[in-house]
Amino acid sequence: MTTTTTDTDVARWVSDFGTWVFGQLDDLADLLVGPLSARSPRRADLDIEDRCRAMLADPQTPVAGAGAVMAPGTLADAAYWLEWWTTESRGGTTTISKLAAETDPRAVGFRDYTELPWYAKPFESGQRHVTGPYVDYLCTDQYTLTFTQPFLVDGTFAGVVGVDVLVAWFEERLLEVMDTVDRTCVLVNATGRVVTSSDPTWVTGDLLRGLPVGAWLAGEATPQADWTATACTDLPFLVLTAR
Amino acid sequence: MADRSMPLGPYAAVFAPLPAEGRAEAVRRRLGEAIALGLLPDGSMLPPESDLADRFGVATVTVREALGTLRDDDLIVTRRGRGGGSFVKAPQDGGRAALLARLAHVGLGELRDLADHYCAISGHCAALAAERADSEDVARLRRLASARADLDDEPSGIPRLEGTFHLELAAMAQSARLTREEMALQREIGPVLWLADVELGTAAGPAHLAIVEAVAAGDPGTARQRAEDHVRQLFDAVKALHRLTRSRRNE
Repeated sequence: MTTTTTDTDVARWVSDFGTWVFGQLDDLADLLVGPLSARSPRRADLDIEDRCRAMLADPQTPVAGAGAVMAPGTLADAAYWLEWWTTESRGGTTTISKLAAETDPRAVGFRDYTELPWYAKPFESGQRHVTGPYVDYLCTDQYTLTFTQPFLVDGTFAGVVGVDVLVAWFEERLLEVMDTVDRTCVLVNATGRVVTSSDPTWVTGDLLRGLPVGAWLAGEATPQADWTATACTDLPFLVLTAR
Repeated sequence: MADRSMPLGPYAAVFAPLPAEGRAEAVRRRLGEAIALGLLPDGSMLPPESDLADRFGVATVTVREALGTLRDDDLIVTRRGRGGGSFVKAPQDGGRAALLARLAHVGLGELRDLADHYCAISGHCAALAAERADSEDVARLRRLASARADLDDEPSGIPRLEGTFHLELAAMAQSARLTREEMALQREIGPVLWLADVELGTAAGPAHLAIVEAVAAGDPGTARQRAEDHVRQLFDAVKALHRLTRSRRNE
């Protein structure tokens, strides 16, 4: 019996990955609701360090950064706050450290994160969001995908929980699946940017212009001369296969 | 120990660890130069003493000693109590005198070499951004360029925006390597370029907007040309300043 991998299988792998990531984020958000429901919660009450470290330390998982970013005014003892951990590989050893971003608005090096897409998009839409692929020059210094989702306390937006996934890791795993499809296969995000491609004509980070990406993501069967598109459930990504 | 330098982006070099000898003096010199050069914006708050000690890899008492000297030199003011801390007090001339003094020791050949390097990085970043930036990227870059154009009357805000604009342009090239190179170059020559930028006055704002338009039009050749012209213009201003410092020295 021979099994053939198709664009649908690729889309399912991507969807399953998204489901796993957002499942992790649901768990992380659940941990925050208790502490943040108390009166005047403080930084020290955010008890997510063990969870984040466990996620980052697991060699089976691709997570390069994880944590929560608070809506301004949520905490009693800091207007802005990132409760975030990152991994860093140096000379074959990986260390996990807490990100010490500057969060005092008056200070040198402060960057207002509420303007950045991984915070602003889930805040505006109330929905899960995938930022990138993009060069994350504030945190990982690498080509990165950032998955974020809003969390609510008493029905009020209190911030986002998120994880960083290095594009290089994602690409390596997804290519193993794509290489078994007999046609050219390209995963693009909602702006038509290539996340992973099985054909070197298109490389991660390239922009495929002029495609009806918005219509395809909305579920419309808009025909196009060169590509057919398959949506990935619950993720703003499309698997394109060459006609 | 946590790597606290990363999130400081272009300011990371200011707060990087120090060599062992004469540490209080080294802290004073590092911070004093950064303030005198206008690298740290006027009125911005320095990290707390304990943070500075961590970052520099020195004792808190050493940091305290250095801050005392900076206070005596009128480069910082310290306010106690709630909302207190040490705040940058930029020199009246925005760092021009200190920078000119430093520039006098740089050769013209070295300046040309830096200009060539920065031209190569900025030009190529602009060309790649024109190929790869999506509409949200373009909108973000345009906001930065507009904010820069609005600042021509208020030079103190220029360094941060000038630096962020070029950093965003590099990130839009979708290249982590070019972005890291842009950051390294800004650490090395940022203050000189920003001074030149202030000297140019109204010229640099429109230059940024022109780069944005070429990126928005998806025209790599024009984007490269405009970014290179912008950098050349900045370095021409630096060379003019350099000539000024030489002629003063020969008087």
